[in-house]
Amino acid sequence: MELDKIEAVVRPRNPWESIDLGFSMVQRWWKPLYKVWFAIALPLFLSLHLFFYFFYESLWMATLMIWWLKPFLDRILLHFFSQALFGEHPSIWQTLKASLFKTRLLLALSLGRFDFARSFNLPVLQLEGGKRATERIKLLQKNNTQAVWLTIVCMHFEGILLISVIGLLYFMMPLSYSADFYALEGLWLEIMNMIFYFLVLSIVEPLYVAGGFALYLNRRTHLEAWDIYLAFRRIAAHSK
Amino acid sequence: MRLLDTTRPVETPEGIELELRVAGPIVRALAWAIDFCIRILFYIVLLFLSTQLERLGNGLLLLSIFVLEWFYPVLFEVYRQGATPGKNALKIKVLHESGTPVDWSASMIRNLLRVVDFLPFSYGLGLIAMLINKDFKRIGDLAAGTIVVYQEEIPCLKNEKAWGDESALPMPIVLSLEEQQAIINFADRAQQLPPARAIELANIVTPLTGKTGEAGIKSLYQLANGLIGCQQPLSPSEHIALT
Repeated sequence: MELDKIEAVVRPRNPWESIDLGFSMVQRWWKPLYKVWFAIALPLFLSLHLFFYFFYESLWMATLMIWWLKPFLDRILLHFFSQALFGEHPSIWQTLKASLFKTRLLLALSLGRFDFARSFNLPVLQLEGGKRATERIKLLQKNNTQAVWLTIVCMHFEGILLISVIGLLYFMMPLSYSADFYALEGLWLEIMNMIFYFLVLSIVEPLYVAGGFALYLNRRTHLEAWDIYLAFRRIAAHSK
Repeated sequence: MRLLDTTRPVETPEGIELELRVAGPIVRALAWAIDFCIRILFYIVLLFLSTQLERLGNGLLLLSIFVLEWFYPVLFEVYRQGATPGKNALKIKVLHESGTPVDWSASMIRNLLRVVDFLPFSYGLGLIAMLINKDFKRIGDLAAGTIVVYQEEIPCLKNEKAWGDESALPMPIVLSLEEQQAIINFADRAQQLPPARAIELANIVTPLTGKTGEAGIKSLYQLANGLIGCQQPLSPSEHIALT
């Protein structure tokens, strides 16, 4: 990691503020971000749904699978952010490779799935790696309630957006149809819900991962004085 | 491209450049949740009281819900430095875009437009607006020209005592304001850093201090003391003599 190349202002922030920085990352890099995201998540989404539809005749199981595979999708997003922050844009293949191997994916898909500080621990596991990861998490996570709140609020954001999209559709419907809306059953309703869920996931998941990543960066900025490091490097450069 | 940050530069009429630290959706959602809980508690109490008054109580309850829903945020924002209890708990507040405190009209507009932000259900539109906008403004903020920022933290430098009990040294070369600030920050935070890291940092500026290791840290303390104009701490006897 070359800290000099970082494309964000490095300063010790209050934890909430650092989450906001994560949200700004999504705002700035949304184009390349969604290119990578849809290139990987969309085929996964489609193939899972087709598979479950033809073999088990159920779509909700596929949606559940997508939900369960979130840690994998998170790794893709985190890889993207960690590269974009230093001015690099990796190819889709590189991203896939970096998020599948040596990132403790199996643990994350089982026990770690219910870890509420998931977004914060992920950078330690994926970017630092190594055997001392658990120790590192303990050190970094001290007094870090914000990571848990981030998870809780993002869960609510998902719910709010999902209800909003469905509500919007309902509002837009002519009155004569809306009576049928409740009666609407079967495949179409299910497919619609799936697509809505995927859309909402595409909005919230990048924010969640970026927020956790920024929290992690901020913690390290505090512990290792990255801001001072960068300023000292500049001083050294022109006092030679 | 400008380095990524969540601050918004504002120039005051006096020509001073300020940086407002804009607050994002997560803190604001939590602040809203706290305010919501406070109002709900209030309503529960009112509900108990109003049952004593039968139909009159019903009317009063509905009236008070109306007043509280619409004016709770406005009154707090205008009379409590732009912060409702929820916002205050999370150390954020509402300001005009220019950095001045909110007035009645701006606060009324931003809170009346909650109805729009609330569409289609539970702040869906407001959330989307905040996520798209660079200053995390919801529609009410856009209309009223307001901004939600973090309350200032007053930096508490331990000014009474010189760092590391060192004497002050003048700066050997001219440094930019930002670089001077970094040296002061180092002196302020060096104690909390792991010792190895502090030495590592001090070694970077060896060209400036001409020293390495512990001696480097010491001379950085001296430079920082020089920057904030702190003299060598007085011994107790000197102190008495001066007073």
